[in-house]
Amino acid sequence: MSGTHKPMERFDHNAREALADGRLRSALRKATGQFGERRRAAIEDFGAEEWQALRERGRALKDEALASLDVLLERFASRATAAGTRVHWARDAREACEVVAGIATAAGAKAVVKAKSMTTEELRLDEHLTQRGFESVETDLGEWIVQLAGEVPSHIIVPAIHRSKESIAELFHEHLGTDPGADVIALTAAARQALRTRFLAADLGISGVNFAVAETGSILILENEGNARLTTTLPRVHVAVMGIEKVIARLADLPVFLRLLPRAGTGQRLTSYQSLLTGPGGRGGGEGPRELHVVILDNGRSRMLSRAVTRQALACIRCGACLNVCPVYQNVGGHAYGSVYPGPIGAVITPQLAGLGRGAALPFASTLCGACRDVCPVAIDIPALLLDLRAEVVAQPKPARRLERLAFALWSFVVRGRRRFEFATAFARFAQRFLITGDRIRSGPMALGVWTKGRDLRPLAKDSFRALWERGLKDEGTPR
Amino acid sequence: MSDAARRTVLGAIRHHLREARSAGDELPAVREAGRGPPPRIGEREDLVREFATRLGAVGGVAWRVAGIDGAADCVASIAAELGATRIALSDAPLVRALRGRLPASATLVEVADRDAIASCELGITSAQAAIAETGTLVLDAGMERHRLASLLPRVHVALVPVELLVADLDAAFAAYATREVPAAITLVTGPSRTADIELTLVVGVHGPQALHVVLIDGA
Ligand code: SF4
Repeated sequence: MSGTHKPMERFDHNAREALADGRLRSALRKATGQFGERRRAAIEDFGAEEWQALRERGRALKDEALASLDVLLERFASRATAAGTRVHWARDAREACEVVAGIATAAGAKAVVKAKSMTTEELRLDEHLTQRGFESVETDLGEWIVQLAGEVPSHIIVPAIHRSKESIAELFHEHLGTDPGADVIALTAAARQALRTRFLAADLGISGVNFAVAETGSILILENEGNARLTTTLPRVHVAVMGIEKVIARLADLPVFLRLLPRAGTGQRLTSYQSLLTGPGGRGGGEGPRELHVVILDNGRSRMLSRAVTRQALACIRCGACLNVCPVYQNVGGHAYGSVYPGPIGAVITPQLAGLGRGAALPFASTLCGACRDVCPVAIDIPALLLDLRAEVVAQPKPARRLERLAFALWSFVVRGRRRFEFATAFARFAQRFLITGDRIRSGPMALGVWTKGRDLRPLAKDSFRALWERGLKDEGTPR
Repeated sequence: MSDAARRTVLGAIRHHLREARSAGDELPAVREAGRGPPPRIGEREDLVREFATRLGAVGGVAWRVAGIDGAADCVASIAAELGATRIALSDAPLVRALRGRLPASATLVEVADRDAIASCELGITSAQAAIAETGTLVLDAGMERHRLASLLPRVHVALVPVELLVADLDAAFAAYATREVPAAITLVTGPSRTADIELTLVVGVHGPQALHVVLIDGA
């Protein structure tokens, strides 16, 4: 079982490990397949044309918001402040962690409950809080399982997909004393009970933010389990952490995103709950926290604004659709990326947030098949971004790339002359006879051998298209 | 520290947006009005049907009753079937009107602290709107004290006069163009759910396991 932190530089190594894990692969296939199916059904039900129009509207709203990000963030901050929210700003992860720890200390908090949030994972906020002596519990069922086991999520929507129910029953038996043979319903009930106690005892709740509305100073959180509602209602203090890109202009824009996000992510018309929070509800004897803090985080995002190709990545609404359709992600899962943001969008965002020194392998972890672009509810051209980042990585001098450059230079020389190309393919046709096993080339000499270690190669066809054409194909199948 | 951070973050955003503009990127301005289609308006009966279908599709139950008496009977039978011994009530007049009409054996918990509400099997609230498009309840915490009563008990019953049905999400949000946005608006679509263990759908995890919406004519 692969489940602990992986350094992201080792994508190739991690991926190989993941590929060897048969259980993980079949679980991933099932999950990604199911979400893909549901998304397709939901969109069909919505109407393909209407969906297209909705995507464009969603993207346009995001583009407008990004183009006026400074104005909208200031508007958000001032309206939120007027509603009683305390707004904080953080340049990077360290600063954001300090802010949250500071709030927790000032509030005299001990027990912390967390609702699933990728941004707080990006900050490694859990680690930071634990080091500072706070006890922080993940409350999303999947995240909690992963936390109990000391692992990291393998899928963004189903974080514990790498674990069988038997192994979860075993884990709960160890930690909660439940029946080791408990079924899924009993396990869920046990989790509800154990976490309910934690919720009632917690002083501080931490959540992410799906959308922040500039017009009203509100934050919106989507979920299915109810743990985010509990996290944002029960503890005395609620801290919400958001990236700068989460802000949108108006309340009236929300329906567009509420229609896009659940359909693309899980194929739902709407998730079970949306909480739109504007100021602390618990003042003056009302229900809800007495303090609401919002931490606005940059951490490498603002520099993505400067170019159109990178700016579009900030339109991402974190639905997860691109992960589920990605042939690479379907096979290796979230662990291999060694980063909070896996899959196609993760491969794009990670190197930008963390800097190109880290995560430089990730832009290459893609076949550029374009499936991610086709499903993205805000029409982000992820393949274009990946190519852009690849170009940047390759432009960095690195001796190990000499062989690769030589190979591409040779390739470019060969394909630019018809004679050279015909000669080369004729030679390859002859040489491949010695390498074909069954109907594939499964291993080869030298550089080819390295390549075929993880893949099979289709041999060249017996005759080229040109030869078939000359031999009479041109007389067949003329358009009627 | 926070003010320095604020200035740096906003400064960085402005700097990079300026860079984009000078590279010739066209950055669209925020339009004044929303760009969605206008909220849909539907016939009452169509909305009721659509709401019930949508709610049913996510595992909620819709009831339709006449007047407050019909609502009381409906809630009483849900409570009896559940064998509820403690029932949390919100402070809405519609919910208060149920006092005296619920099973006498049950303890009614009103405007209570969270532990008291957490110990109830059933929570009864009203809602400020219901959305046909998605089978969704709109709980506006500025109008009713129902954040916990709709969340902590195993079963949530919401009383909704049919006049409060709106066609779609746009209509629900449009209502706040002229109304103050309260500390919390919660949209509720069916019971809580998870598929985190082997993708097996389990209804009822942290939030309620069952949701009943009682649509009332002539409330
Ligand atoms: S980039 Fe991926 S996660 Fe982001 S909105 Fe598009 S499909 Fe969803």
